[in-house]
Amino acid sequence: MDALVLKQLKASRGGQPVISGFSLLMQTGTSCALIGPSGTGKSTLLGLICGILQPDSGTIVVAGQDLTQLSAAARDAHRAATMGVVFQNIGLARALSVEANLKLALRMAGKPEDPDRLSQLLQDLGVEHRSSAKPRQLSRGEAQRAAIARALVVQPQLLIADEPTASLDTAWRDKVMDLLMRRAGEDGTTLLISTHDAAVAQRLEKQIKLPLGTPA
Amino acid sequence: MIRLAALQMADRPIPVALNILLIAFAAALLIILARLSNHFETRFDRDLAGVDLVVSAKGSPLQVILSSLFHVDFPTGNIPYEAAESLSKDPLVALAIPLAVGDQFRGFRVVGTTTDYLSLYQADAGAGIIDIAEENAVIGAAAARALGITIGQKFAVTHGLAEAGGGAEHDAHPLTVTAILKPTGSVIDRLILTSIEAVWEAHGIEHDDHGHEADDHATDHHDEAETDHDDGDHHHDDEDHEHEGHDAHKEPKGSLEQDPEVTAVLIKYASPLAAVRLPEKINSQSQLMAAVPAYEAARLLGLFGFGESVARVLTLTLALLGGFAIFASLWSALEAREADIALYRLLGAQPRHIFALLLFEGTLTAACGAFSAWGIAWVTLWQLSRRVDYLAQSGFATVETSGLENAILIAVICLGAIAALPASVQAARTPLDRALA
Repeated sequence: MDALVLKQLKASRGGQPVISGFSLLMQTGTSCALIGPSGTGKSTLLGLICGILQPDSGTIVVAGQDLTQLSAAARDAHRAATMGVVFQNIGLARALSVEANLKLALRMAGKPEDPDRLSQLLQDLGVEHRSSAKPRQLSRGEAQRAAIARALVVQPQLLIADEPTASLDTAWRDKVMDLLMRRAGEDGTTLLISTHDAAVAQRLEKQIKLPLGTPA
Repeated sequence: MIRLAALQMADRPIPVALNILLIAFAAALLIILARLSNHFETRFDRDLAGVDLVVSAKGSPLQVILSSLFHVDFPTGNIPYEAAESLSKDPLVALAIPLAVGDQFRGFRVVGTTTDYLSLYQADAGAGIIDIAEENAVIGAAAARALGITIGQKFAVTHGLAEAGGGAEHDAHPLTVTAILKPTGSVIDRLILTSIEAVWEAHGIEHDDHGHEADDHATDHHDEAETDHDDGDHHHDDEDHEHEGHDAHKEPKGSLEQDPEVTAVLIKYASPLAAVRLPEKINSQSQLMAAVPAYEAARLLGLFGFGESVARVLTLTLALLGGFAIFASLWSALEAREADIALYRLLGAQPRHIFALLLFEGTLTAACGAFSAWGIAWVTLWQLSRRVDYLAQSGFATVETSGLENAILIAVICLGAIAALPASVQAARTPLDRALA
């Protein structure tokens, strides 16, 4: 089954074209890295796939649903039900503890709480002992790992992550990538990750360099 | 959503606590003002007891009403009892109740009167049998409670109305308690009632037994010559007024051959025509003055009302400031919350959810303030009712809730919601793409 289908996607921001005729097909459980310098449209592309930006033209199909045909509310609901999202500047809700952040994500996705799974996920990401801490009490690395836990806890069909390992040391970067790849293999989670880190990109099955036409 | 709003509030405790405190104190002041105002107005109505006119010695009409109906000021002087008698026979008068005041017992005024006075306030005996003939006494509920007095107990009244006046005790003529009244929520709760004859006896004033306590009062003397309240100015000067408040019944000095006197007569009209003719008729007499309770009470409430209005405006301003503080607090926090709002949106929240989240936060802040206000008001009123004698004696109910009080609390909560509206709208409009790097 196709987890993500992008066809002839065109988008602009601030009147400037950013994405021009981008197409991509990702099957369930596959992984892909978006690489390239800043300002080449990686974040815009992720925003389009999340449904928080609208394309000028083209098609975005996520988990069988064409986002361009959905209302804003339906896009929000579809995103909550099928996607896990980690953006650089959107990690955790400041008012909530790490555990409460994960529970909130589950509730918003309409999925039941599984304390064992939640605990295991926090343990895998090394933040179980910080489950009651507020985001401001975490180190940057801990906050980033907790944000990845928040995105994974809903068992998304598609995980979209923008620089998910930017604040992690090498050891934790590798552990996180191990975990993500395991999720892709075991749960069929499709991974689309934007990164500057060549080591991260190399762990994924496919690398796409932006802007298009540049050799990966 | 409410839980999330509460958690967001808990995340910034100091500004939220300050907002809650500001609203709580403003709302508490409003509640206290409303409760006291309501209490005083109710008491005013009850104490006026439908009395149409008070006849007394010439002086300040307001003072006459205060001393004769509310029993809080000193009388203006005395009037001949014959005048009271003739008033009771006037076809324009349905009811005339004489009052003789001038003594007290441990701060509670002793009033010589008739059983009609009890009927005026619909007072019933809570214990004993109502009998104020001769030297019997009936005690108001609040007075009995404060004095710890019991049926059959004898006590000597003290000359003068001022509690700390140090007047002489009428030991030779003690009163005997025959009844303790049920609480009425009116001035009678704080009074000690006896017959006019008993008051005269206490002062050594000889009088004929007319066989009817209401109609027949004769006194051999009543030293009006020493009463300083007949000029209407009512100066309570220490030197020329050494017996402040003893207007009605002074100790006899020498041999006096005066007509019997009372302090005032409470009148109910026989017909609407009396309202036009009777005051004029009374005021035309050199010794008498007619004071209209409704008019004087309105004047008094007007005086209080000004202060109350000022206090209310100030308190409302404070409440509005509380609302503004909620607005400012939410609005200034918007930028810092952009990432949180974006996260909620990414997790599936729609703009209406974001709108509701901030609206709940403002409303919850105001609601916390409102409920804290109820607590602050309750404690303050409870303390006031313990420390202010008048409130304690006038049956002030601390925990009673009124429609106005509920309206204030609801208005405060609505104020919080309104104050949160601009920030809620702005948050709901925040474009999600701002979340992107």
